[in-house]
Amino acid sequence: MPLQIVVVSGKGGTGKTTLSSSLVYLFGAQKFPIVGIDADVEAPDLILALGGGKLINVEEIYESSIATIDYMRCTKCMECINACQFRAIRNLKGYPDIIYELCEGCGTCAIVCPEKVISFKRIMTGRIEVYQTRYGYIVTGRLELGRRNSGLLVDIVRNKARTILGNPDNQVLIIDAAPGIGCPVISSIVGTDYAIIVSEPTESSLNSARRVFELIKHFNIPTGLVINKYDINESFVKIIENWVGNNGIDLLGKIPFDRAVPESYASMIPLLEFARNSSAGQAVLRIYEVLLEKLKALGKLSKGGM
Amino acid sequence: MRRHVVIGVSGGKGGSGKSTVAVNLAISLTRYANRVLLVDSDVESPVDHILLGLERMKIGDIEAFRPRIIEEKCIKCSRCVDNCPEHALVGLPGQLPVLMGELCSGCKVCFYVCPMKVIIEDRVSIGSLYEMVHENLKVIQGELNPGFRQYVNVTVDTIDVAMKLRDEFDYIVIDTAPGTGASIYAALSPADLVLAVTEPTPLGANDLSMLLGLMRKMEKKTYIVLNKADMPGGKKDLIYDVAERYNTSVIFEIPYSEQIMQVYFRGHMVKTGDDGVRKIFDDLARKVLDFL
Amino acid sequence: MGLSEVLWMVRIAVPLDNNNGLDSIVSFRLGRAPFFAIVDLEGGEIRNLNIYANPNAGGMRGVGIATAQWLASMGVQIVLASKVGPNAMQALQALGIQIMNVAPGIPLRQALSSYSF
Repeated sequence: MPLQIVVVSGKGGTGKTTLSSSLVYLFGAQKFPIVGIDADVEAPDLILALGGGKLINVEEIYESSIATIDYMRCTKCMECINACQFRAIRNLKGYPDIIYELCEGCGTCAIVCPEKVISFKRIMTGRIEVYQTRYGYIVTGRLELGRRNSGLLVDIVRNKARTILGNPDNQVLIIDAAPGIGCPVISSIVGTDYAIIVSEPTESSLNSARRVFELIKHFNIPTGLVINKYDINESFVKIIENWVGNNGIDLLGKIPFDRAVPESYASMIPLLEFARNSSAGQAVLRIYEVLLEKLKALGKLSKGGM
Repeated sequence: MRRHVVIGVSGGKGGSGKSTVAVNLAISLTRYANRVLLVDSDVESPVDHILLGLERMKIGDIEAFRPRIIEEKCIKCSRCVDNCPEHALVGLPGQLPVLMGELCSGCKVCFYVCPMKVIIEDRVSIGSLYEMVHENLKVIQGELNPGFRQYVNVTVDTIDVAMKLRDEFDYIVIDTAPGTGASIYAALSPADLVLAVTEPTPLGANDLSMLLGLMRKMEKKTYIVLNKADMPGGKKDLIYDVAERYNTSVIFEIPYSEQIMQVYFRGHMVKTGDDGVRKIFDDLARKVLDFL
Repeated sequence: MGLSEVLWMVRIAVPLDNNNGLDSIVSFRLGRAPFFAIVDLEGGEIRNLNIYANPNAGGMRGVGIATAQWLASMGVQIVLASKVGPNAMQALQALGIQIMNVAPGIPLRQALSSYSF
């Protein structure tokens, strides 16, 4: 069974991808067979954090459907507009017009249409991209613009990732999860061996962390937490540490605010290659070491690597 | 009746500074107008009240349909179960269906498909509406209630409520959620102009092109605001390249400022009144007004 | 067949990652597991074993519930699973299906033999 580590944040922009890309780098450097999974399908950026790579495979997923109206037979009664609970049908020059971005394909309009002129067509949900990079394979899910997110793309991405290396016993999969607490996050978390929450020292970030932890607790997954940019608001750090201590979460470490991080992103070189000796780089290294200890203590780290 | 010009502020990615820009732009606009409305439509994690350091007041609930089955009349045919697109109704033929509330999207398929018409409409609160006022700035904010998933519906309704007030305001600034999905579409639909906030990194350029792609589909005039413009290691050309590809321009650069970041992290933006920060956004406001 | 033998017959479902008879591997997923073994056990003996492709696996939403619903329609009484998502768990409870814990990654025959009903 592969070792699966998921990195979550509950809220975007906390530095989740900084950590997940660093973990891909570090496990790979220790010669673990590693695959990075970008489950943040609305805004996938794991591949960019690692400096890009060669796109070797694309799979299009067509699982969404939206309503379509046969205007030849439509009598313009507008019953569909009244019935739609998502405001996805608007009156365009006297005709009902389906708004692609809002239609959920639920079928209510088709049921209420007295003339039965509404049917459904398949549209693209998103794409699964496989990249080859210097540091390992990255499998990215990419949701089509305007589509509603769901756990499906995440599930497909995770499946694909598991098979890419031929399923060696000691393989490590790092999952960069979607922000929030919805279905895509659930699909990112299920079946993982360890979850890492990345939080900033702000009230909103901690609130989001609390919400995502409720989800992780449901699955009984051992959890660790990393505080990013901790020195921006040191007084809040205590509050986070208390919460972590009271909830059986491992405090894996704290990363200071460091210009090396945005600089490494801008150069498209992983932080630990670009600025290993920076304060952020050193903090991430320490976090990795603490993580390895926790994994060994849980019996989850097999003999692989150096 | 006032001009009610609507300016959308979006950014593709969390952490790009979109909310900081939206809030500060709204504050600066109050100098050039009598009344400004800020709409916080980032319903999954709204922060504008924290950034402004204002107490928010609940003004209403956003509701959705929930089915309620009249048990005595239900013939247990399970047509509602079979047709529910979310699989929110559970039960075999011969059993009374059970509703899994968190999965119900409120689509009403069950309501219409029940042959005996024994499903009646219940309303459930899926979101909350808040209001804050500070001098001539009013803020309307929508928040998705915990446990519910219909963030698009809550966004649509928040925008709706706010737009009903449009005649009272000179300028309306809409702060959107990150992403390029359905809720962004809903939030930016009423916009006369959109500001795409980004940063000079490959990630920023990537997210910017996704947002510009959506804006092109929506036929929305969009200008780019480059945040953290002089950040160390930043690559501005990436952003200017994207701007050219999409036939638009960077209208403003916000410097990389630890001051701005401190203000963001500690909140209380309105009360700080930091002159350096204020001047930057006053300039942005003037620039935006030029383009209108 | 005596009354005691009838009482001990139970229908069990096990989510699988592949279809390789009793050597199939138990999946860590439930709703999206690609296959399911549906087994009738009588006093610990396998009376009936069928492995089905999960018709709900590729769905967009409510997959955990759709799968629970499908298992109920197949007469399943007990599900052996490692991790059950919040939706699937609620649905299984509503449908009266019991959940029992099993380790993922082990062969089906081992999962079944560790339970005597």
